[in-house]
Amino acid sequence: MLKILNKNYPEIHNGLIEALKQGDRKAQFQVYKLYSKAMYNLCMRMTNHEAEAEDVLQEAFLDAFRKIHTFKGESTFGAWLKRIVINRSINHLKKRKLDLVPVDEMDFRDDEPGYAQEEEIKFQVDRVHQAIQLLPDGFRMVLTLYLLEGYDHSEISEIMGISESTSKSQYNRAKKKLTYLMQRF
Amino acid sequence: MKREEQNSLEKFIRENRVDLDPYNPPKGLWEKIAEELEEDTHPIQKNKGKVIQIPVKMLYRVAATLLIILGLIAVYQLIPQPSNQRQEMAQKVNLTEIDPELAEAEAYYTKLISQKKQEIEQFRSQRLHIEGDFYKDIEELDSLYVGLKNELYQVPAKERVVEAMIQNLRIRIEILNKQLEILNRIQKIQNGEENEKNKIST
Repeated sequence: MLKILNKNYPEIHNGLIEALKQGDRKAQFQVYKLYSKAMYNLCMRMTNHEAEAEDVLQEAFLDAFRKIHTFKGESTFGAWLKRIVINRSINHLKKRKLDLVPVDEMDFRDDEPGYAQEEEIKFQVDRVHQAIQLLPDGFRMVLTLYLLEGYDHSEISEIMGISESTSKSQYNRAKKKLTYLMQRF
Repeated sequence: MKREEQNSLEKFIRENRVDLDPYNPPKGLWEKIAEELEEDTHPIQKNKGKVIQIPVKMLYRVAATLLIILGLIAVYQLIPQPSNQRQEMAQKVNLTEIDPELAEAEAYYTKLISQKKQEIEQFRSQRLHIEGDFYKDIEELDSLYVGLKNELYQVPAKERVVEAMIQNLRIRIEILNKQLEILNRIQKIQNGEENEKNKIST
């Protein structure tokens, strides 16, 4: 997990954080350049909506720069920024009045046709990417947070305001749904 | 079996994690962010700027208007001044320094001229008709005189010019005298008519 985190979210040195605290525009731009792509893709995966993703990204960076003094170095800067992006994304989804809970009740049977043929599925980046986009919001978010962003279930439960077991079951279901969707491409 | 398959999906995603970030952040987003941050850091300045900017512009406008008005006044005052200065120069420099005798003569004649002009004005105030030619002639002689004065200042042979000037003054006085004569006669005739009228009526 840590490997992934390091690969996707390069850490920045303390000097840069000090500069951010001074409100140095160049430092802010440097941070933006460093994180904007990964954060934008996270926004896209969370919101599944281009315009909304842009809004979330803008708000998140503004939040981060405005509240940089609250960053105490307990986590990496990248992890801190990512939490802001995720929280903002969830707020946007809530505004869209998308209830995350009903996903639990979604009709989704493990014995859905197609599971037997999982072996035949050829994983391709494009197909995985497209299939993720087709996932319902709750599934997509849990899968994104767990599989792509490296949070564990206790963290996800905290972030999304759900129980840890719900997070786990949602993740398993999301994975199955994803495999199922990929068969259709 | 199933678990391995599921792991293969997870494995694939984790191995290709970077490629699963295909989107580039929208262009111009940084500019939007920077703009908002700029507003954060200079909100008071911006407001101050707005508040101050308008009066400054107003002040500039008022100042510009005042300058134009002052300029117009200055131009208005300066334009007639050169001719006045010229005349004064002509009178003071030319006549008292160059030719004191002529200066005396001029002073004498101009006094006479203004006296006679005043007399004529008195007639005019009694609504006696004065022909337009009279004023035209006097004006013409006036401007001729100014021209002669300027020549006096420049031309080496002064005597002829001085002669012409004195002649000019005399002609003017003659004209004025004749005009006064005419006016006196008209007045007498009018008075006589009135007297006769009075005699008839009484």
